[in-house]
Amino acid sequence: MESFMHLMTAFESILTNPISLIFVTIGVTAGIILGSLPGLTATMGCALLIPFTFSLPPIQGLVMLMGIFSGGIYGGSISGILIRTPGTPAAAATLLDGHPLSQKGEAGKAIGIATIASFVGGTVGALIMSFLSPQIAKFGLRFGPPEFFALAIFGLSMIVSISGKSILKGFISAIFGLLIATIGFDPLSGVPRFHFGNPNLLGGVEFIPALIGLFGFAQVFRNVEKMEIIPHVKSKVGKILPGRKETLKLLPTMVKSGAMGTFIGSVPGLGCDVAAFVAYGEAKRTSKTPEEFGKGSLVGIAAPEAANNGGTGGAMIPMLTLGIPGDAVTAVLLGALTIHGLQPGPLLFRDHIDIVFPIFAGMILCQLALLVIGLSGAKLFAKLINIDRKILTPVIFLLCIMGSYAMRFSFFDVGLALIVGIIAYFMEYGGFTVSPILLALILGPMAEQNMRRSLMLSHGDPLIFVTRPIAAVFLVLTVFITITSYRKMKQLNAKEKALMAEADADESLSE
Amino acid sequence: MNSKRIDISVGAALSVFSTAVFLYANQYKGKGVSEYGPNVFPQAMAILLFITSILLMVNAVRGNSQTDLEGIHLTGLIRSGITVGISIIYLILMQFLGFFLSTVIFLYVMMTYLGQKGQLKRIISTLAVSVVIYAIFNNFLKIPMPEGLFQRLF
Amino acid sequence: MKKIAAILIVLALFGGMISAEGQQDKGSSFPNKDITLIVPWSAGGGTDTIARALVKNAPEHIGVNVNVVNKTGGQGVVGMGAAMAARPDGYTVGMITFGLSTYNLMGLSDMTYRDFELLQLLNQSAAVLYVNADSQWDSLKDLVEYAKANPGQVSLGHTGAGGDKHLSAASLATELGIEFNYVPFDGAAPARSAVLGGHVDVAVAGIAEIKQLYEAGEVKVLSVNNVVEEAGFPDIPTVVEAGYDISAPVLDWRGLALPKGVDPEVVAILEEGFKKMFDDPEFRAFCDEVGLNLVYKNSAGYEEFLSNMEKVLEPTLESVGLLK
Repeated sequence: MESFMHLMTAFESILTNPISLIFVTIGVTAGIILGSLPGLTATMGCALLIPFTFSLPPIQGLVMLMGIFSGGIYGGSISGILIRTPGTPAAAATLLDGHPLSQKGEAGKAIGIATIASFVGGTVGALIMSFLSPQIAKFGLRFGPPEFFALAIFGLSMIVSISGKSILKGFISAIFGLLIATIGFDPLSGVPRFHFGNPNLLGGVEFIPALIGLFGFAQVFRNVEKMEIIPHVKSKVGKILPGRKETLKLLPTMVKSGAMGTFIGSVPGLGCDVAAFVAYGEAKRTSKTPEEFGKGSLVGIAAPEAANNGGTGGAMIPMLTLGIPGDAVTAVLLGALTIHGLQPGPLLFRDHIDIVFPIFAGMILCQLALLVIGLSGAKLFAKLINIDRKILTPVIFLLCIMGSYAMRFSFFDVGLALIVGIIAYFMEYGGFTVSPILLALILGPMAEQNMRRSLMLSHGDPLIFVTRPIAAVFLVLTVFITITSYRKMKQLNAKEKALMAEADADESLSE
Repeated sequence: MNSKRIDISVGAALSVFSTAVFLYANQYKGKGVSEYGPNVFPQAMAILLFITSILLMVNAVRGNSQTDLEGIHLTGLIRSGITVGISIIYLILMQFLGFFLSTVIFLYVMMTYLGQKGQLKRIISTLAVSVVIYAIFNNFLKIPMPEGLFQRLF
Repeated sequence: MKKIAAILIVLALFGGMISAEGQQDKGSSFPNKDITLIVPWSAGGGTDTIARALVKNAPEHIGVNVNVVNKTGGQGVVGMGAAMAARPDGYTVGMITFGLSTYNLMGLSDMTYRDFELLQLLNQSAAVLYVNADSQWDSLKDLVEYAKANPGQVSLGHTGAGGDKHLSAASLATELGIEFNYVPFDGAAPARSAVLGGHVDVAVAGIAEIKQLYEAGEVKVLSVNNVVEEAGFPDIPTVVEAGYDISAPVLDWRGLALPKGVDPEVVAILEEGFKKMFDDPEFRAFCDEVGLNLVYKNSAGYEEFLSNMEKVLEPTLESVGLLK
């Protein structure tokens, strides 16, 4: 109750000063634009805008940065839905259903659903963060290396759900990704691996160029290849807002995914990207109509989108309460707070309650701004894919090149992304999906390092993974989810063959 | 298209690849500061990859391959190949001409190659996109771009 | 034809605009355009924050902006390599960090400080040993006695193999004749949460990284692994004050450097400009706030410090099996 009063006072203080609202708007808009461009991330946006926030009062500066964070995560999905090139890793799960829907000519609707889901998920995240931060942070501390290992394995079990038609091929993709993830300097032993003397590989395969290669470049090659064959789908821009009934039907999924996203995001090392994949896998596993997934299912858009925006609130929790950033963006936010003379950590909650609650209130305002800006911009975004493909494809190509370069100003990364793109392009022909590689790249280092770290702690005793209760719970959960998802996929594949003949049945279902 | 042939060849290639990784990672054995050395995880993954690729081949031989894969369009493939070629030339050109000029050329050539009609449309969209991208990356994001040989001119 | 002519005019105009901008570059005195500072670590990290704070008021001190550019990867090798290979016109300055002292010794890269024109040292920070507030140890002595009685049983979290924190703890362990069970984490933050959650017994960090937790009483700091006290933290005993004798500690450091071959006049201007930024009261206040121990050394002193550091590091790396 006390928190509630604090929150209300914070709202009052922010709202009586309308200039803060302008900063929220600027932040969210900038975030959406940066996030939707492949390779430009919310992290980069925040880092760039920090100098501008020097001269602002801390709250206004922070609110703007949080706007970029929320907007960036949401913006990534727009390009994911429209051109199958996620602007941020967190959007890689949204495109699994967002892009098929947009190819049916319903890009506007896809973006509309994504916007509402982002808003709901983000708000759930912001509320959880406002009221439960200290408790969640305390629980988070019980996660040591064995727990992190179990969590990573849990995340990897989502491979079953995102494998496409062949689970075996999904596993092969993932194992390949896990091997790629071992390239570079190993922080546990101090030994560089598989870098063949190249300093650019010493830090491993950079994540953003790999993402752009897997989705962006591969998609450009596919577009070029099929330019003459596939007729251009005109996007019906009209319907942006999904019907009230539809939205209400999706609401439970959004709230559940948002909450899941918040908790996953609050674990340092797991971020919005993992949250999105887990929510997608969970939505598919529990769905009564899993056959719609991958073909433009609305639930398939709402779940990951709500989860990744819920993750933004979650990621702020350990940063504010313990000074431990959950991911790259919050690391930058931590820096911003420090520059303003505020050291996040336990003392912040004790001494600066006047700062903490406006941060929470600002986070909620960001979600509102995101809803308004997203819905009013959705028409404009959806029109983008009506641009002539012969102009759009070179432009996307250029953006992918620039995006892979801009991460660390490296032409090596551009070449790397191109090679990854070529591999991904051929993989699709062999029936191998690329999403498991992405998931493996995110979770691989976490799984490996924490496995070895745990064994170091236990002096080599593998029992450490099952004797610790939290780790054991997650491992059991992993087995359970893998088995049930696997069964569901098997049923689905059998059903698929029967359904093949009556493909139009889908149309009526997804309406 | 049936994926039997693809599955068998990919499976064979991956089993060779995984063996190579396993052997290569052996050099990391006992290196570094910790007991559980840097070789453990890559070698474990190599073993898993080997097993799964053998399974893939067995599946294919038994006739359990997917049957609904798209075939490759040879002409389309060649077009994609040429696109990659153009992008590589663009990246090389950028070192000499600087970012702006080479981007203008790249966009124009790509649009022409993909068959965009209308000279004016191509030129206007090329220039507009180049200017906007240059403004975003160079002026706003302050990302250092290759200046090229004509840095004083352009 | 007309269209093409029109386009050519537009192009020419645009070219003119850009070259007009370029004209300003041709002034006589250095610096007449923005300077780039390459930071080899990612945006928002410790080094990056310090770099951005340092150059915040650059126009007042050197007349132009200094733009921070993060060129990350390969444990800093990529960014420092870029600074080393940059055009030696003085417009590219590199931030160099502790890793440079170890690359060659660990076989990660051939690059050493000798490949740079050293500009100035910014900070030297000693590592501290800290434990959870509930820990059974209250002083370094308690820890050492326990570790001697139970060799290899005390788990010590550090921030990455071959990093300054790891090596600082390892050199201390060698000098005191104790044996830790080293548990490497990927950076300072995960190591910190491992201490708070009780997953490791003790951890090693820079004082700046745990300042908040220390002041909030969530952790106990056992000692500073140095021969002198850390500025601003007189309550924390040094190893010597705790009753042990060590000769040369491993210190984390950051500094500025130029590629070889920059005009000496330009070097002098940069040296003066960056010294002024270093002395900016706002920067000083920021460093006090975050707990960064500023130490200025000019290029000669800097070189001496780095050469001594190499001598300390070689046996330390050997003791943990990382010497190539």
